[in-house]
Amino acid sequence: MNEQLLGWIGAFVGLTCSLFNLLAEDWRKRVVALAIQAIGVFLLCLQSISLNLSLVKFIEGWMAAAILGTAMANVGQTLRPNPSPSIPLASPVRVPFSAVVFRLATALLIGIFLISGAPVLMSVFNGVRFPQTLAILGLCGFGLLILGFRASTFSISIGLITFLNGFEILLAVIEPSVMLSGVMAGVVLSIAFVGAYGLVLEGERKGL
Amino acid sequence: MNAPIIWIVLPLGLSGGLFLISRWRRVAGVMGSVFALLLAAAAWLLPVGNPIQLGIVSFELQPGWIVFGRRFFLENSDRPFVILLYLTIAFWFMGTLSLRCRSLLIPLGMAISAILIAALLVQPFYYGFILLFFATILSVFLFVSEQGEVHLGIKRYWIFQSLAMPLLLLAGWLLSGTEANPGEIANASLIYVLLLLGLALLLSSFPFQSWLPAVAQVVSPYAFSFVVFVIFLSYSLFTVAFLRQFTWLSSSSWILLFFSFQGFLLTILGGMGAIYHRHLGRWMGYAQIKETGLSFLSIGLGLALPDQSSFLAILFLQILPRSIALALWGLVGNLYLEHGESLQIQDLVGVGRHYPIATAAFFLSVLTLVGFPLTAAFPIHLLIWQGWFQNFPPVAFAAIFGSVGVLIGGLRAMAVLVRSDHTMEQGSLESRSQAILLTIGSVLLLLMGIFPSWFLSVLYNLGITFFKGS
Repeated sequence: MNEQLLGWIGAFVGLTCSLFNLLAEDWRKRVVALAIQAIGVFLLCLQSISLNLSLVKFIEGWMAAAILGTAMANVGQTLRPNPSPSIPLASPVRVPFSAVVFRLATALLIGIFLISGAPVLMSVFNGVRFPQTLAILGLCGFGLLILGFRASTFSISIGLITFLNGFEILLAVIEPSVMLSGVMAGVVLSIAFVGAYGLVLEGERKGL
Repeated sequence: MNAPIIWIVLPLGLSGGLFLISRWRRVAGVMGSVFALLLAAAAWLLPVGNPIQLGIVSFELQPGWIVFGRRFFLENSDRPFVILLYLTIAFWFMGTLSLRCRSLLIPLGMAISAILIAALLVQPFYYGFILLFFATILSVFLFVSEQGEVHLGIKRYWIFQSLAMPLLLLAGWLLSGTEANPGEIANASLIYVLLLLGLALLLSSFPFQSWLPAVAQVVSPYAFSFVVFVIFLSYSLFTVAFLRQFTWLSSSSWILLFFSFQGFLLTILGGMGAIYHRHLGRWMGYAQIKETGLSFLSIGLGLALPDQSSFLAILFLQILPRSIALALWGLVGNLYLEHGESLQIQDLVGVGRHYPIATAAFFLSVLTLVGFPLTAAFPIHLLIWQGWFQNFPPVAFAAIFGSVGVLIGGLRAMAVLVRSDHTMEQGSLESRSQAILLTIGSVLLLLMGIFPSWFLSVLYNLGITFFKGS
């Protein structure tokens, strides 16, 4: 398939999933979105680094999603003596429609930032392609929005991973080293582990 | 044999072993203290790059160690930092022997120290920011394990430090391609933005300092005091060493303004917060903000002077008095917590009468942290105050205000602690081991205050060695 097309698909997938993570409430869907976001990051990194190194991003993203998903599933089910009904920590909470509109409005601001910031980023860092630039700024922006809007441990983990995913795409272009790819995978997984550890402890405290 | 393996890989392995035996609190405490003391002694006695004769055996410690193309390089000028870091963590680990609660402080503390040393030794230098991030993550684990949940303050700390790493890594990458002066650098403004924002997040300066009192309120005081001391010491030294790699950057007016202005703000904010506190933990958080501000003022003035090393060595002078004062406060805070289950000021009425030695140690640590005359930190505070009075007096007034604020907060707490409460049973609740440890710490602080030349000259020389080499 055309390389440029793959880049556009990657940017679309990454941005859509991060936007979904900003708006959605059901943790299962958000974990799936995080995993699909890793596919977008993989496709974008593939534009600049080898398949082997790009696969690191893909595997790291899926592992992070699996760690967080498993922790959330444990919080909701197995830690309590009576598994049903699910405790509030893991269940979807309905947010007011106005909150969703407000989040969409701020996401629109990120969209404007993408249009104005993309040429600047491309001029500063040589070799960064346009779809990659959109994904870098978009993922970092949506990651910050998730961190700003949501205070739960699960959301913070997703927000930080999203922000770092954007940064990883930039690093893949400017410093395509094996060491850095491995270390960044460690960074993302450590965030997922801290999130999972916190979720399990919170679950133990609230559920048992 | 490679020096980085001894002071990075070995402690990391030891931390795994200490984690396995952390169930046996006293054994882990003794083992951790002994290992930390051995590592400090080894750093003191074994020169790097020179032949060492041990009886009939002769060997040489190689300074470099290469991992995946990146190099960890320990020079003799780095040894002062290694010595002092392992010495102070040994002091903290010994303190855990008198605590009753289980803690992951010893295994995680050992791992954090090893990673912080690795951050200072890695080349290219900007890779150190990733290692600092891992040290932060371990400290978040420690806080979460102590608290049992991810409190809002811990979340803030986690987020700020996680956001700092990519910004600083990117700034470091941009800087690595520049050796000239800023006029010739196309992206100088971007470098400044990334660097200053990243440093503000990393060093918990304004407006990212709010996590300190929030975390101090909820986690164990002993774990908090350990983390803030080790993390802030290493981050400050790493930042200075990083900036001094680029002459144009370390003498840049933006950098000097950043440290001076942040130091001014943090000392005032710390002092004001400490005056109005209603929680002994929060008071410590504000005191730490003021201490961070004071370090910023040392760095700001040190970088502005022609002979940078002589003033920056003050950062080394602060290590021993600050570490002992913080460790004493942490130990005392944990004792009060065991008694009353809260450090809210209204819950501490008369508690000091049950812990006379602990309360005296707390009072001494308050006086030391504010740089009260005849305490160990007074000559250091005086140097910074004098330096700023000669250059820009409002900053010196801010630094003094910060100290006065923390002192007022500490005295308020003391007044509550020693208040008579007839409803409580009389008698000391301190165990013998707690009394011994508190007495040792207090005597050390007193000795350092009465005879400052005993330790100041040694620490100053260590600081000069470190900064001349960095």
